[in-house]
Amino acid sequence: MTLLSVESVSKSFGGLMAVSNVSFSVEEGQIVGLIGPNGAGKTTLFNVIAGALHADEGRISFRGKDLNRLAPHEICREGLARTFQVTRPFLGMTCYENVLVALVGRRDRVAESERPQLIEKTLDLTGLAGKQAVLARDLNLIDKKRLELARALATNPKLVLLDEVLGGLSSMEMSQALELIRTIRDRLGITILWIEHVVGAVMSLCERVLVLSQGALICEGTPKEVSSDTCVIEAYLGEADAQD
Amino acid sequence: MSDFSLYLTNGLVMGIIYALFALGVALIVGIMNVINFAHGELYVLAGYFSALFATALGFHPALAMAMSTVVIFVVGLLIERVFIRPTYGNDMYSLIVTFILSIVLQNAYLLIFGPYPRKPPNLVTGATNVFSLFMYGNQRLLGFGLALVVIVAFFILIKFTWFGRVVRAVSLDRDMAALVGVNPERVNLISFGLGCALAGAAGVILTPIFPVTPTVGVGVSLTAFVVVVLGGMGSFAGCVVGGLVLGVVENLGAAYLSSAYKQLFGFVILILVLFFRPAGLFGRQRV
Amino acid sequence: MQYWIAAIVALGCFATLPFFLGQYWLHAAIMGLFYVMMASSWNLLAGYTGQVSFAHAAFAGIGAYTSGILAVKAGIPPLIGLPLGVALAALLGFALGSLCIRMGGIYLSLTTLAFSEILRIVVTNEYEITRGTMGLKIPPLFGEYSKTVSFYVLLIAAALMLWAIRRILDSDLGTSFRAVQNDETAASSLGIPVVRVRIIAFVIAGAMAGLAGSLYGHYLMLITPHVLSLDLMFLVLAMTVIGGMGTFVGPIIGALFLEVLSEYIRVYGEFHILIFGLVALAAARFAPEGLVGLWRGYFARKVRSGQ
Repeated sequence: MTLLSVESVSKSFGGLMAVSNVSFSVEEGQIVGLIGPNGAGKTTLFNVIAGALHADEGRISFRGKDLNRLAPHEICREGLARTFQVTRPFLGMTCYENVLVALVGRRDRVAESERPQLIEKTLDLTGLAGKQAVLARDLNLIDKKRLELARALATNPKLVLLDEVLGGLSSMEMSQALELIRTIRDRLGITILWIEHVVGAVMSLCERVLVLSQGALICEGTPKEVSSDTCVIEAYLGEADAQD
Repeated sequence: MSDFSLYLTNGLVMGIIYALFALGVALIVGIMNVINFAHGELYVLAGYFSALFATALGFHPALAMAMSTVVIFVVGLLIERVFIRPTYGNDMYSLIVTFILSIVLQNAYLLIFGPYPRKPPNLVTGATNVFSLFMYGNQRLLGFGLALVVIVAFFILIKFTWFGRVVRAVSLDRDMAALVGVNPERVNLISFGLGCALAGAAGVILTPIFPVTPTVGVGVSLTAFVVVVLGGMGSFAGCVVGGLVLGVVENLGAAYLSSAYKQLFGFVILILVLFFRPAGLFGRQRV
Repeated sequence: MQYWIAAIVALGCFATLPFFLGQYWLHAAIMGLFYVMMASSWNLLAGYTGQVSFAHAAFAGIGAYTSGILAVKAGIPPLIGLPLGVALAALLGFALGSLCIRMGGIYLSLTTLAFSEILRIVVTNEYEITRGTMGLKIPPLFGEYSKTVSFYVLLIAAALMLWAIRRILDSDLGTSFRAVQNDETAASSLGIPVVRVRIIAFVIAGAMAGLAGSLYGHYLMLITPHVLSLDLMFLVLAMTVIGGMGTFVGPIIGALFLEVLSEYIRVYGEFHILIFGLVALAAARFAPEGLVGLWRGYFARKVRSGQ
């Protein structure tokens, strides 16, 4: 069934059209990738979906419900979680406490007695076993990303918006991350919409890929379809031209 | 009618001086995103030094004024280096630190200078007939003129010098400015010193008219904040307009509405602005 | 668990004070309790949700003047006036918190400052009702005036307030506070209703300050605009900062420590504000975690060197 439906969404800042008439949908159980050159409007689109920004035009519905006037925390409680491109851990709190916040924010109250177990499970899943008492500010980059993911997972989402998780990771860390993403969908049944710059990773893992360029959705399809599509090549080559 | 012109003139004169207080705050806020609660205390210190240099040391009042301003500039540099620099990035702490500093200075002044008002001697005396409407004190007119000169000099500095360009760049985009090679620490240091010097300039200009006591600084700081918010954080032109508006509103309000509540107008304006249009008259909407 | 034991022991010790303190020091102890309440409740707002409000003394003043004026002008017994004062303070806390909701950091602090000054100016000027700077004489909380009784009243109030604060900090609300303080955007993305949390903090802190203020007023039996002033606000801030902002015991230690210190310094004249200021300045600059932070640091070093 269709989990997320984005219809003709536009968002501009001053004179700049960051997202222009974008429409697509995400089916339950899919891993959908969102790629495009820098400045294409991908994160802006995420911000609009997650409620951090209001769309100028268009409609976004999640599980049949219109997300338009909802605040970010309400959207999260509907089951749509997100991570941030630059991680935003609660630096002054431990990993345990960071995940605890996600439990506290949930609409379905998790009993106090169940929390330690749930938090431990989530931290284990994302590879942070044994780091419960570590302060978030003392974590390295990949652990911060793991924590970001753990927190999002702890909100019990149906859909997670992942914003560029692979940036700054070594190739070994990257394959661990990919494995984790696959696990989240396979084991937890969570649908994933994923912005990523490492195009190869997206092509290898996603069932569907959306290509955004200069705010517009220029192409969508399976990885194979998209990688052979001329408009995509131009979008990326066009960026390369501009850099000369 | 002549009463009205008198109040209006008072408002404009005070207004231009408020603008001067506010420019110092605006500069520091624009560059460092720090609100200096002790701004008023630096105004007061300038007044004390001016009085000291002129009376105790017998310097010519104009020289005393100039020297005091320089002293305050140096004091500003010291404060930035010792108290503000370690709090970079943590706005809450710089707020707290400068608040504490302001209380410390107030009490220090009480200790050192005593509770009685001090003032340097007037540069000019007597009054002038303004447009045949009313008599107005010459020192006040001079004060108006001097404040105007300093403000114009400040705008020239901002518009036409290298330093001014740096200030504008940093105000617009701090990170970008750092990337193109602007040394943030040095810019912060000089800006803070300059901001304090502007408070000092206001101090030396105004104290012949309104003598200083240890506690008048609080009112100065608060007035400056109101003007900066009214004019728009980050806008220097806004400070001038905001200062004039506040000066006029206060004086007309005190004359026609209620003189007991004169100090209230500024605060009410502050809250109204922050609630309805936080960007102020000329400020940029912070994204 | 050991915390509760320590707390009860401390409470027990405090309860014995009237038996061997003279009148002068008993007064100091009562003032200390007042400041403990003020500092702890301010810490909840500023140290745990990051909203540095300068209106805290104003809320104490609201509590004091409300129950005081009701008692003097309308003959309402202070025991009824007090909850009314607290309710009004809570309401104004709600209003101020809501007003400040779109602001952060500096703007919020300035707004609370303006609010506080407006209140002080109004109270000072409305001489008919408040007697302005001359001070309003008000009756004690109940019965005959007695320092010992007042001490116990404030001790119980402070103990209850601290208990309430502890419970809040340990609860989901406390976790929300800290999340909001660390990163509002992230908290919001995890389902925390940031606006509601921030306003709740203002309401609770305001109500607590109102309570403290009202008790303070009925103890001194005289209230002046000083209770609404930035000078009092400064003391509360300094105590919290020196004791350790963002910790539970910090404000308690800071308040008691500074109150005792001020009594000793008072012998040498009115320098105590200056000295507090210098200590607070040094604390804010060199030991931002306050006495609690220094203590923890010392402990951490001992542990490291011991192993």
